[in-house]
Amino acid sequence: MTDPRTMRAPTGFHEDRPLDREDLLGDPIEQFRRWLADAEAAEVPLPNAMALATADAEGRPSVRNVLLRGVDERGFEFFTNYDSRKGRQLAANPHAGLVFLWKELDRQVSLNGPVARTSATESDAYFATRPRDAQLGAWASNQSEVLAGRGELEERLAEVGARFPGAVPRPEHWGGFLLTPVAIEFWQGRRHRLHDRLRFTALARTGTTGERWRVERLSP
Amino acid sequence: MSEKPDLGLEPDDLGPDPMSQFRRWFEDAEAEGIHLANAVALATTDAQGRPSARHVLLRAFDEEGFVFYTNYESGKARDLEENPRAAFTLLWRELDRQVCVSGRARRTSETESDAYFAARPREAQLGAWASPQSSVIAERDALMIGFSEADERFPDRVPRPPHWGGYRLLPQTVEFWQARAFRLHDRIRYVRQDRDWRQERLAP
Repeated sequence: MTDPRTMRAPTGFHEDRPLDREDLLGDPIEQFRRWLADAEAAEVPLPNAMALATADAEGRPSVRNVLLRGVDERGFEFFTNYDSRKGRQLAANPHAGLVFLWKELDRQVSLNGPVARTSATESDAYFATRPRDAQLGAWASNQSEVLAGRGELEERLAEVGARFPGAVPRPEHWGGFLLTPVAIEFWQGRRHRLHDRLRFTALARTGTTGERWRVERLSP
Repeated sequence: MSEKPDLGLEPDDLGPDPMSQFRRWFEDAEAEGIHLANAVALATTDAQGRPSARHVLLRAFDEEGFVFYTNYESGKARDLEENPRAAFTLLWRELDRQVCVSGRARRTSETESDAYFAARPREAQLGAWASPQSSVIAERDALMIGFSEADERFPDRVPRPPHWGGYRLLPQTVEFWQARAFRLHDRIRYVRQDRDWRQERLAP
């Protein structure tokens, strides 16, 4: 048993930065981009890494890290093998949660919503920009399947390298997903565990003054 | 990533059970000086089976499972009371390593929660009384007032609030992921079989 008292205490709180409603932009996607840019400026390693939570049809969750490849007014985009565990779970239960943690800034963004496949055109366009090695890897790996050994993978990589000496086409089983957020929470760590949490919730209908989101403060 | 050595992961490199292997990697992360090496993204699902995730700090692990603490009325606790299936992932970017765990969460005993609560700093203890976690609050002031009230109410020892305590995630699967060149990462998964663990390699 690891004694909790010997585990490292959170030492992170660099400076106590308040987060108030007035500090946030009206549109949470724009606000997200601003925090992502802050994380890039702070040289956080892999600032676009995010934990993706999915669940199977029985509601059993699983979670792993993926890289955010695009974000715009439609939502958050990432790419994967559609036959991977997350791909299969998203086909059976098209809802997901995402969370970003930028420890160096004591910030977290979490969001959730429905997920849909991106168009083949969009997946083609992104696949074409990937390095050749990654393109061949997408052909060589039956993502999430059990392998006898690593040699199997290296053999397949050599085979597809020989098969596609020029341009590597996108495999049909590989492409993007887009998560359309229905709720986005911005979390700023504060002293004494009294963190600031502000949540945007999408309104079913645009409000009387044109607002599309309700903003609330949550207890930490 | 390309500037780092391409470290391989073979089943023979790994401990006989995932908890001893986890301990090795956790110690590596601490030795590397990774800030908040114990931050995990915890996934739960609501009554409709829709997942959500947020970070919590892992406070202990043992041969049984992984322990974290929370307010039992928070969003994640409400999810866990409804559906105890849960998963978490840790990403140690500096080591190109990831661990993914899934299983079932069970409340820790009151004794265990009391012992951990007693070890927390006074401010964090008062915070646990002051914050109705995940409820909507009008202003931050409400929180600060709650904090001062708790401070006056408990001038000495702060007892653990009844709505605050731990969960232990009892793992069913534990995957160790080491990034490799050409996106051909190594993934070794342990799957619980009765009291033993089966090890398998997954395609990246």
